[in-house]
Amino acid sequence: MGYWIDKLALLGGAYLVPLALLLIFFGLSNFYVLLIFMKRYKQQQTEKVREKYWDEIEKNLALILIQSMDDDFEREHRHTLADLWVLQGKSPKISQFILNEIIKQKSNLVGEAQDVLLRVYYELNLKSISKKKLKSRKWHRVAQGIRELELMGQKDCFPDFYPFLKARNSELRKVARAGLASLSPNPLSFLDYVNEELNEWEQMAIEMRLRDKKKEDLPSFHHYFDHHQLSVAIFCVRMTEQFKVYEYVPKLTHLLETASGKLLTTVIQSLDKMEAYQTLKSIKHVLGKTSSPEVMIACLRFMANHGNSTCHDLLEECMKHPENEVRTEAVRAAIHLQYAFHQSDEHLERMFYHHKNQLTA
Amino acid sequence: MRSGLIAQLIDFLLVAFSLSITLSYLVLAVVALYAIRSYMRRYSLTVYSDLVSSELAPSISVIAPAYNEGPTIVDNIKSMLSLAYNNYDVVVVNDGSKDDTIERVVAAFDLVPVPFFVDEKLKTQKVLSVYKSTNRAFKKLTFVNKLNGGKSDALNAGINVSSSRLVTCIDVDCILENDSLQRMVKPFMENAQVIACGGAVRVANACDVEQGKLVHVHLSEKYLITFQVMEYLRAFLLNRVAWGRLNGLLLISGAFGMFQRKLIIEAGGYSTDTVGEDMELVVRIRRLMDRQRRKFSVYMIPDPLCWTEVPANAATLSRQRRRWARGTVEVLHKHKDMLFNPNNRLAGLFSFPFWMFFEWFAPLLEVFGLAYFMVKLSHTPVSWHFFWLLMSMFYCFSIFLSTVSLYVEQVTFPRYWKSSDLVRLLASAMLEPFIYHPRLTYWSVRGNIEYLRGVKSWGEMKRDGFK
Repeated sequence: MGYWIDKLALLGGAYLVPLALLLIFFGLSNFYVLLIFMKRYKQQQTEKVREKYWDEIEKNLALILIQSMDDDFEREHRHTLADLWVLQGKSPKISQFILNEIIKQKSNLVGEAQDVLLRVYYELNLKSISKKKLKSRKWHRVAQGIRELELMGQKDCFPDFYPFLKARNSELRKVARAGLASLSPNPLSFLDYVNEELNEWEQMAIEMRLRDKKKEDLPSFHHYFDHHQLSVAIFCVRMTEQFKVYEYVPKLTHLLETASGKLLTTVIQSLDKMEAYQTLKSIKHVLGKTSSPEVMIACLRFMANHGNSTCHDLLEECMKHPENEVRTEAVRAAIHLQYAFHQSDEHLERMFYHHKNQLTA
Repeated sequence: MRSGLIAQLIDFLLVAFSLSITLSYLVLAVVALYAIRSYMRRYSLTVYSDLVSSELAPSISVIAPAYNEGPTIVDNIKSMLSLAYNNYDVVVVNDGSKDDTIERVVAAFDLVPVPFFVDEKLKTQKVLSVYKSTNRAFKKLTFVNKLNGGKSDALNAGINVSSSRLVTCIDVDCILENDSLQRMVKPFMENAQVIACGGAVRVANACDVEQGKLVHVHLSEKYLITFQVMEYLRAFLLNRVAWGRLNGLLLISGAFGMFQRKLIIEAGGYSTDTVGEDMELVVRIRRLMDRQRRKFSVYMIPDPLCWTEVPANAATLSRQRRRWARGTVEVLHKHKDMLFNPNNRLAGLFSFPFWMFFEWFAPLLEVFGLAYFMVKLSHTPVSWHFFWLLMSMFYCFSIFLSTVSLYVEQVTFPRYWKSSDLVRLLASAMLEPFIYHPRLTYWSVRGNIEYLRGVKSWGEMKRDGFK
């Protein structure tokens, strides 16, 4: 008896593991093949529904837009809208299709046509679809809802976004911030809540939203020049430059005295791009006392564009700097300002020769 | 007695190795699935088109080395110049071509030589001239003509000429997706610690290409190419995505990768003494960051950004794979002190050993295992039931990995829409262990032998060209 038990155990031990693994991998392979074809089937079904109703949705929306030009608009509009109501009642998927189509069309339209689309949006109660998403427990559903409301320009909804500024999910926080930047009358109010780095991607997203605003609706960037998050301060300096808010130049000049490192470099670059030549004296002062190569390069670039004969000594000094890039920039500035000077550095001599030729060419 | 013990030890090591390789790939597949899921959720909320007009988009230089690319270079440059991005330039480096590459490019883009100061931060062969276009439509293009020094040398020359924050090094014969730069730059903008980023490379054979742009994706009729399609899907959508998620990625494909320019210069540029220059650069930059105790991450995105023509015949494929094997062993040998080195964190403790044992050593061990089995067969009786069970298990595992990668392709950015394509890919996954894998193993072993013999050449890569 014991012999057989031992034999079975031995067989089991040796065979059981590979057999179990074989079955698991075999099962999983089939499972994924099934998933692939199920996914394909689902896609095809969605495509079918889309194809079936898409033309009708597009046709009805187009019809509404055309009717808006007629005198008999109200009666015909009701009629077409009723068609959309019927379509909408068939499946929640179709409501989403209609919403997507309206969002897509809205981005291509302006003026009265856009107002007509908004009217359809309200009459079909599509706003409730997006608002319902805000109550979802899945972060990506909430984010989708915020994005839809933002794209439809639902300004009354921005207070609903506040709770998500402190959401655990960072993506949701970002979408909520972008939504606020787009809809809130004070687009950068969310910056008061920012305790993390405002990354470049997010900065770009906010910049794009600010671009849609009129000059008088632009926020007061200077309020955030001394924000505890360096990235926020840098962003606001860049936005001052981007939107050419010249009234903040004195504030930026003041920053030249207090800021350091990356913020200081950004301030100098912004003043350069805003052509604030009146700040040359302060820039020269910064160049005289800084040891950071990045700041020096920014100062030298400023001087190349807005400098004058008073910069000669500083440039000569910078040409002796141990950092190659600082020396290069100093030569570039000197050439721009058409200074005549002699070099002992062969490297700079060659560069001077090339740049001079380039200028004369 | 002693030989019996040795045989038992070898048996144990072979089984342990096989199980550990299986387990590693299984873990990577799970990590990849998780990473893809979270990536796709974020992707659905991303608006890439902002980058086309934003002033905040970081500057990028696309660097493409060219050697004897005369027949295709004009179309390829046109394709590079029409990428959808706000702030980029294209640097094409002619690496001493012997054909009419220069003449064609000069004529097509109205180029004239310009006085241009090249700051040689990286040592390269002599730059003979730099061309810019007189036509404003091509103002983004810089054409560098230099003495021949190999692909790495040409890339280094391109890096010297460029002045952008980020550089993308590509193969000039690759086809880039129109929005590839937008997608690739996002990780750098989201996280300042990202030092390099790679994208998925897909197979372009049999696809329709017009003026350097991919128009339609088709799956090739040739099984040799279908095998490679499956192989690329597994490599890019499972392995690399998983290593990217774990921040242990050691290889960003030379066909398309983006780096911080400053860091490449700090690390000393591409190495000219290896044929695995893409992997070597990533490993060297990682080590530099580790030495300086700086936080960093090397990122991988699953988006199909770059399409490449893979070898369509066994002879060319053999040359390519032997070169890859040589490149791998060169890099592993050069950085061998990284093995189990805790100073290199995850890369030293996991990725490097993974490459060492499962990428480089596995084919060698496979051949050894086969020889050992033959010898054993003649001396001791073999339990055939057990043998077939084990073989079936590994076979099922290989199919499992292929199906998962195909599933990932379908849920991320599906390009194979026809059901017949899917069936053919699945069939190739089933045939691959019998037809394709043994050949790969053989070429890998030959690559190792070539390394020992000191072979350094790249070998000619014959291409059929696109339809």
